[in-house]
Amino acid sequence: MSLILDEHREYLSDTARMAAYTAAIAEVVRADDVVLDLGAGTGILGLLACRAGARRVYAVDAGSMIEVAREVCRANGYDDRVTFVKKLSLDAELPERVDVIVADQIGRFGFDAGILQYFADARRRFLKPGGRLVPNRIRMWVAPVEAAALRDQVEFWVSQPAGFDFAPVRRYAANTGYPCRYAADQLLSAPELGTALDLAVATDASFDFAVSCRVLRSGTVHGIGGWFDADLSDRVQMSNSPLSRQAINRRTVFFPVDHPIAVESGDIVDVRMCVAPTDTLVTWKVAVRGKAAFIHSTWTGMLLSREKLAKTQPDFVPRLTRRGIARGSVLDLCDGRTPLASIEEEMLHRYPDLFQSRQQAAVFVTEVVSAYGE
Amino acid sequence: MAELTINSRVVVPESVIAREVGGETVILDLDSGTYFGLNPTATDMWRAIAAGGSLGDALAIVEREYEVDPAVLRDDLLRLTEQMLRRRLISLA
Repeated sequence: MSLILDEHREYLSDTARMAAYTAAIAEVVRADDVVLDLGAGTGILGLLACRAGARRVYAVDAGSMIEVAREVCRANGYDDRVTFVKKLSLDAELPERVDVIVADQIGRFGFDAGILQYFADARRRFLKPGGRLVPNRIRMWVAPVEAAALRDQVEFWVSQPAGFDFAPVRRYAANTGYPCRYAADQLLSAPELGTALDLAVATDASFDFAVSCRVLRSGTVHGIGGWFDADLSDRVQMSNSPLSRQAINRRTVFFPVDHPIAVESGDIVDVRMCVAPTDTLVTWKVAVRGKAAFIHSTWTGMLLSREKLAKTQPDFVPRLTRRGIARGSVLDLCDGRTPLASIEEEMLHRYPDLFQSRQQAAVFVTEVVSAYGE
Repeated sequence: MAELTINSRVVVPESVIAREVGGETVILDLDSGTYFGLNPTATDMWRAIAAGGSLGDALAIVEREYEVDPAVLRDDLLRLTEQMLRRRLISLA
């Protein structure tokens, strides 16, 4: 079974999420509206828009799920109303502006599935003046958490697996955000609102926030928990908060601190976060007043290689590899006259060192053409 | 901007994060979303500059690591500092 399909099964079987989007779309979408379903997946949000009376839905998705969405749409009798566009919304063009944009590109912490970038672009290019957004506001919440098992994922790297020293990896592990679920009693303070993102104006520029969390019980700070709530409409909210009784089935995030800190009721934990949405970078500075301070960043945890870095130097003079040259040939052969079969044949002829069979040439050509051809 | 001298002290803004990869340093400025690369020599200077002392202190650190005419090293250090100030990767304390 396709893992992607399974992921969408989870989305669709999440009754809290489905109830929230069903109610919000029924509230926001009006008869004869034109709607953009951004990152459509199975097309469910577009179907809900049709049911709410939308005259036209543009379902935009770059993935192959779009073919499944087409079949589902047809099975439900809405294929005359939904137009499918198999592109990333950033690359898509629509023939008309829309009244409503609906999406669930919120991620686990409110920004990490690209909604800021996608909405900023779609608002500017596709939304009518006064148009509506679902969601229209996202709030990011944080709290210090007691989560020894999650922190063990960091310390694993100093446990000498198979008798070898993997300690260099710990620095990466300590600078990574981990998907996780918390029980409510793992929170050491009340959740603090980091920031509220108004999607009518938010951009994908970096932002930061700082909060102070008052510890409510003695325990151990292992890291900072992060999650979101989103206003899907005036009346409907959706959240993955560990404290919400209607929480959707979506994991939150754990940002570890370098070493556990024992705290008492009344201690203050200062948390400052800097977020660069387009690179999904988060920096978290955590200070337990009078006890310890930490700085972590997913930038430090990012896996970079010196070979890749060398290719970003301004004085680097790039040359094409043999496969790069071949790729250029495919692009040249896409001249608007030559059929695919001829391109494959020509590539097999030109690059016998790369392709031992017509099948191998066809796979290569398909890869290039599906990315850049139309 | 105050004049840059060997007695100046610089600080690294909160929005700037550096990391080393294979002896080189890549600096990310979260505010502008831009990345800057430093070669191994500049990496040593950056480490000395970012240590929190004066530029004179930084120079003393680098002098211990390089057998180069101190005047040349001083010029290089000040030039790198100026460049980084201009790009707001550091600011004068």
